[in-house]
Amino acid sequence: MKLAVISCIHGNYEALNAVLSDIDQQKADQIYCLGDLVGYGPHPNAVVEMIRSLDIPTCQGCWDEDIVEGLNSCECSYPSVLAEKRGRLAHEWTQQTLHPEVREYLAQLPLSLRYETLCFVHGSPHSQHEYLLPEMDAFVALERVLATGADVLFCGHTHLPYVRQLESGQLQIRVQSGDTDSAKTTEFTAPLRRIVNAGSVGEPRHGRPNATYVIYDTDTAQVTLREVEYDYRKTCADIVAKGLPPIFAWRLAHGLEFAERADDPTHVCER
Amino acid sequence: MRSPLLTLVAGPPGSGKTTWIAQQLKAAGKSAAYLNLGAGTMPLDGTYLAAEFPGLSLWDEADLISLGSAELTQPLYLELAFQVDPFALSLPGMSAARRVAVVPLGAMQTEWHDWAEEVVAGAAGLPMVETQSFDLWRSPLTGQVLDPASLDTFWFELTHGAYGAILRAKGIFDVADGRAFHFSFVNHAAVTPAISPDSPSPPAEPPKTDYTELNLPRWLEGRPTRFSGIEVLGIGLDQSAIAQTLKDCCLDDRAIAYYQQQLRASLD
Repeated sequence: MKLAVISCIHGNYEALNAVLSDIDQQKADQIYCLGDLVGYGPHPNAVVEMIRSLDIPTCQGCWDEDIVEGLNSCECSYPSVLAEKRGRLAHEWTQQTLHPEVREYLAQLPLSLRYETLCFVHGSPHSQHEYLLPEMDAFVALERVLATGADVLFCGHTHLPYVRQLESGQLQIRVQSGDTDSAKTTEFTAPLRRIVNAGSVGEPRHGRPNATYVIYDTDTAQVTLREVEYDYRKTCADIVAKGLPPIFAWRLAHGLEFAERADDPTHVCER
Repeated sequence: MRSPLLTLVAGPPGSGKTTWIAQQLKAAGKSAAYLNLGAGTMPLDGTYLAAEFPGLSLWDEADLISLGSAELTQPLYLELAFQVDPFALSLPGMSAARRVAVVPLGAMQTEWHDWAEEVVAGAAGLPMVETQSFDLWRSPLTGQVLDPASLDTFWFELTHGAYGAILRAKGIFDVADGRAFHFSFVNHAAVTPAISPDSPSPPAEPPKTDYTELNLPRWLEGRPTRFSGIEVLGIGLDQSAIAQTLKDCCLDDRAIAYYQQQLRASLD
């Protein structure tokens, strides 16, 4: 069975359309969406309506949560004062633009999804705001996957697609109870686990405006990273026309983050 | 042998006039004076040179009147900003001045060759352009303290065409840790149209900025009173967007006080 996993659409309707067309061509059997349907982009309502109309299983992203709760993004996401101001502008614009029924839809999204041995989250199993960066500590990464009980953990949030194999992990657990000096030690080898990041449909951070998503074959366990071109100029024009900061259009054209960026693989979000 | 104390230095923007003057100051190793004619109230180059050469005297344009009435007692370097026409310049004592043109490496006969008695090869590859067709935007930033990461983002956007096609940009910025930096950018590639959604391809050679931490004491109390500012020369400049982004990079009083308190504690 072929699964398509998309994430981080961020109100970019043109990109979503192009990705859905590509998924059709790839003949995927099922689509999963990892959230962040809204935020930064000019068509949050249209994006949500498309996802709903296709009945795509979706988990709640950090932006979706922030829009519902009225909060702004986790502070650890903003690399600068300038980025924080831009993020706040985008948040206020999205709040003003969102239809009530769209907000209700985002509010009822689950924090994670499950299909057999696969788990789908936005950031990490612990938080929509936690980044699972490809270079984060292997033990911490493994813990995140083991916490779900799944073999493969699909995530988004970083906007950079990747596949990370965690294998041959040697784990030792030592339990000391009471006042005795003795302790029980258990060792085991962690079986293969994988983290698959779907990248971003609507706000790429890989230096090109193209959308990214992944295809996963449940029969062969093969992961294919897909990069899809679309008419990003239209999205850029809509960004400006709708009153979003014009710099977002320039940054989209160059495949740069609009505001948030995760820099530190050792950082653990405490939100 | 004539050894005039007055040296006039002219050339296109970004050719290396200030750099050449700095080389002379370093080689001479003695006190001197400097004025950038055309800088107005934006003494960017003067501030940079004075920080690097603490003995340097900075002249105002009003001081030029003394050229005719008193002998110079130390070398005076008069840098002519690109918008100043050296042929139209009239100053007391000018006839005895040394006239130096700093022009791009490989530049053939130019108007500066006709004016100067000495031509120096400056920055390589700088295009000879009609600067009259460019926009010039300047803004003082005295008293402002910038978040370094924000400044990096702004400068990247500026020099990669987010606010217009940039030929030359330079600035002096005070940042959160009390230091001051000089940024100098010259577009050595052929002048390209503003990078826009219609021109997604990156330029063949990346733009280059020289960063220099100025030899100045850290500012650890309140808003700085020393000069800082920015000057941008380009085509189709979105001046309001540049100004707004810069404003968004600035720290408020509370943030400045917090950073300064942390710095003072760590230095103690």
